[in-house]
Amino acid sequence: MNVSRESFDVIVVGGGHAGIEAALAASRLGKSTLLITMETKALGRASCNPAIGGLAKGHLVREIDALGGEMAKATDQTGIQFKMLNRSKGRAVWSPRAQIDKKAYSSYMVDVCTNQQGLEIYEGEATSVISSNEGTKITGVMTRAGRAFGCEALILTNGTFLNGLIHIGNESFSAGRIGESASVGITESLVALGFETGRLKTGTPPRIKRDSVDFSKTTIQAGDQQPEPFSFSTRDFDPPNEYCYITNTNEKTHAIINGGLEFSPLFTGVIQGVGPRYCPSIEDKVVRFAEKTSHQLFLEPEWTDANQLYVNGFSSSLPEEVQLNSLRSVPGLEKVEFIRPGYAIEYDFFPPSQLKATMETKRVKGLFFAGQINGTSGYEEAASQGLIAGINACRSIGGSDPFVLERSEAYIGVLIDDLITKDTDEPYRMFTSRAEHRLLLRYDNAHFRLAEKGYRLGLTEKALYEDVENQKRLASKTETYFNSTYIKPEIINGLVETQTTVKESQTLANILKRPGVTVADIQSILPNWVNDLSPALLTLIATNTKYSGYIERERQQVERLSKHQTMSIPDTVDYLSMQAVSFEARQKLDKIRPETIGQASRISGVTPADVSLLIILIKKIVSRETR
Amino acid sequence: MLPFDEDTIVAISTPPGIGGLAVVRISGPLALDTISQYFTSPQELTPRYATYGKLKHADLSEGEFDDCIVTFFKGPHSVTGEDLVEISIHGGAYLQQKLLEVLLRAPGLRAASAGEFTFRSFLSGRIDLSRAEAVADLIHAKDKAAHKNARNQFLGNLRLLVDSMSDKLIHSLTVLEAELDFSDQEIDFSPPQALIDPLSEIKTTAEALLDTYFYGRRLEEGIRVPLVGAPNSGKSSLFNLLLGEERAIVTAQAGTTRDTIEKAIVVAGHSIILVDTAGLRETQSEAELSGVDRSLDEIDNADLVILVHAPDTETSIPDELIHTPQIAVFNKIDLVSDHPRDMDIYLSCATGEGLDLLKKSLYTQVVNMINEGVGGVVLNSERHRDVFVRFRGQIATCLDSIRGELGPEYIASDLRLALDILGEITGKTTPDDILNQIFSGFCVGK
Repeated sequence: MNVSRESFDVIVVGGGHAGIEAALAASRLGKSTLLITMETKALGRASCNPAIGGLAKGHLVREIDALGGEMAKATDQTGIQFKMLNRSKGRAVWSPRAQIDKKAYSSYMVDVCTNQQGLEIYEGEATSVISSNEGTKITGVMTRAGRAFGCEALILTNGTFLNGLIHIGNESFSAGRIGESASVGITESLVALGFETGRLKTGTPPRIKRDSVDFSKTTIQAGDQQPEPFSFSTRDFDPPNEYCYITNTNEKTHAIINGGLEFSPLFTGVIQGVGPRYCPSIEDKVVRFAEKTSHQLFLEPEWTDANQLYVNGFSSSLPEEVQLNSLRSVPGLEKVEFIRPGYAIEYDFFPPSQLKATMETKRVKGLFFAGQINGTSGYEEAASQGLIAGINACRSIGGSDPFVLERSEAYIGVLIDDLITKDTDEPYRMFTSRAEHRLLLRYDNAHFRLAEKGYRLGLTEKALYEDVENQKRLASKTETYFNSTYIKPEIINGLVETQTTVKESQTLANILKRPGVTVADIQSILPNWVNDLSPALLTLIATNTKYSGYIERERQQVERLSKHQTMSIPDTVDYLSMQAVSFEARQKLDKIRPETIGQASRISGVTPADVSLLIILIKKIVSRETR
Repeated sequence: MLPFDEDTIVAISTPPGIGGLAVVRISGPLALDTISQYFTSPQELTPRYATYGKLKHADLSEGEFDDCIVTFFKGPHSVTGEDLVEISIHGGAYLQQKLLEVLLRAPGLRAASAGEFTFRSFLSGRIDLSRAEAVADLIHAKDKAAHKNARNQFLGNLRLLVDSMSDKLIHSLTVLEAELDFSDQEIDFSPPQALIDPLSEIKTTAEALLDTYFYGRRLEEGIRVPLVGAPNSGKSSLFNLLLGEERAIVTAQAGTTRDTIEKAIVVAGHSIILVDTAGLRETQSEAELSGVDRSLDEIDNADLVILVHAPDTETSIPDELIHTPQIAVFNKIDLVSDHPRDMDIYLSCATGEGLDLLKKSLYTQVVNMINEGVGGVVLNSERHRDVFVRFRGQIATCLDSIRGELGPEYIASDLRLALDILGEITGKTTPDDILNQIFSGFCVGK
């Protein structure tokens, strides 16, 4: 592809989920943007499972959408099965998940990126970063072909490509993904600038031939009959509902796996990088949970009409033969044939405590990291970081205030704050339990929380923003109506089943708060203007009402938080000389160098007393400097 | 003290122990609201003016706080820069603690942590920046002292107990969180109802611990043991004998002791405050009458009473004594041969006979008291008590939520809050603690 110029406002390296959101955000915010990828048609390729969303991850996708990102739209357009998880539980932990058509997803993203105004694509490999001012300011990037591009801001989203090393049994070879070259040079140029780096490991299961599976021995798993889209802008949603299939391993499978452990790079110590505990390989599960005689496997279609299935639950780096033999002991897979075996991959990452909340590195101005390079895992986690990095790259060029989401505002806020204040020792994945304000951060109110912010940034479409504002007005009117409208006891008793008969009039809100009562139960006594609200909005309002006590309590907890949370810490602070602060806290603070008191207070080993001392010492330093 | 540095806090700000006057301070946005619910005075509270009046409240006994001076400082013109109320009361440790305890029941108030008043003064700029280091050192010292305390056996045991309660709570929370974060996986989740038993157990422990509080205070301040009896029964003689010195004036004249005299001795490693009191009898003498009143107060505050009987003196047991442990002593056994029954100890101050038996009995009673407590823990700090009161309430909320069949995410929210409250003693539980439990206990991950 021809690139029209030698210098851009923003350059993004990598065309995965992080890189796409970063490049789209930057170009949509009016900055001239270059996306460097090894292969244009690989943009948005899903390297592992053919699914987007899931518990907590679905929340991230909805937030990306409210802020004007692309992931939710792409999922709605290319999803082949949609399912709302945790539906039996409260709304705060419902989470949408979709099986996607990997090929369609990637072509959708190729299409969007190639048609995006202000975004150019260069096919090639970035090999080193170019900086000035003794390595403290980024000025560009060098490519394998020897062509250099200049930029104000550089966003690195290299995924698993940096010095990627694939393991299958005793074999290991350099690659970024199977069939794609690793990227060499970037790590070394960053280490030369003083960055700390580490190794992580992740894995993927085998892909099998669909026509080699006996589906009669498996259980069918379908999506929801009435699917909900991810994007707030999607209308007339009528996606396919393709099947996944469930089968189970057995003791014979486990015996074959145990017999092959001597060839496992994981157990022989060949693999040095740390893998994710929430996504263990099958050999890890068999060894660590030896008492379990069976593990569930999900056979998921990779795209429509594909003769290729993804064996979810069977990630492995055992030799191909062991993988195949053990899988052939599983019901339905007796004659299974591989398209390719599972594998493990080790790659370089940069501990994200080296980042600011904007995703810019503390060390080099204008250099941003997003995605797996920061030690995260997951498409959704990557896309969230890419979006925030893209936004802040533009804002740093224009000299605008950084865009940072608080932990109480979004899962994206929790994600980034966790990354920069924690020492990640395994690939980081989002869980709802990471969010202390979980009941405020629901999947269904992401647009209420974030659309206005996205619109003010210049990313969220005006139509969506106005629609959300209108919905907010309606919600507020309806909630007031629920709280002020009393219903006579005889009507209530006829509507809802209760253990004891109601004797006094009650508000609609109090009726809704009764266990087991839903808005559907009271629909017959609601006025038309309420019943005419969209089902999604009405359910959102009912949820707000039903759990108002809990929501209010969490809100108060957010308000109680110290106003010093946002007090910024000068980057010149010498923590090691702060004798009053505990030794452990001094070392941690010196390593992570938090930007704010809030961040400092969330570093493990830093006590409330340490934080108080920090405030005192910083006030003193600041007053000395301003004198 | 962070992150909640805008809460309203309360503390006794005069040095611990028995003084003539004590000052309790409330600082924060709720200070004025709170005091208005307790303080009655003909005058209205005016900023920076001391106002005389009474503290009246359902939680306070009638007449307990009749002579108080309350001064209100409107923020930012106060030492903390916030609304600040100073309550000056008469009286010793008992009354100070009582007031603090009652104030901590007011909604939104919590006990101040070490150095918190000073820290707020600093934040509001009331303490000059040049003194920043001094403030830092003060907080550091107090924090260090707290840590040092934690190493002594008493608080060490508290920590063990709190840690084990936390572990149980984390375990309960893990069950819920695993279901929320991994419901798409093949795990057998136990229903929230399964948490009722372990949580009830935790609540019972918290209650037992709170029951130790009053005694715990006494361990700090000394166990109060008044000698009570009719005039001339030999209380002062016994007092002197137990002390091993001539502290009280002894005469043959009934009613010589008109004021209470107290002195600490050490029994079984604990401080015992022996109190010599005026004899209980009907009297016309005003001085003696006030002595008798004071004796009755002492009985009210006693942890253990030595009730002294003697021949020819009739000691009527005051009603107040019914619930207080007592040692009934019959004195002057050398004078009569006919000794009444139902006495614990028979002795003679004149010959010293039986004194050893009394000391032994005193020792046994004190040791019995010490053996009370939960896992060797008795609560003796108002801050810890405040934590456990809130903790017990929050566990009760959790149980209500489970019985009300709320979803696991709401029960989890209740449980997290309970853990946060316990965390004020041992440090915060992080989501990673929960996730670690999930990963080690369940086979998750596809």
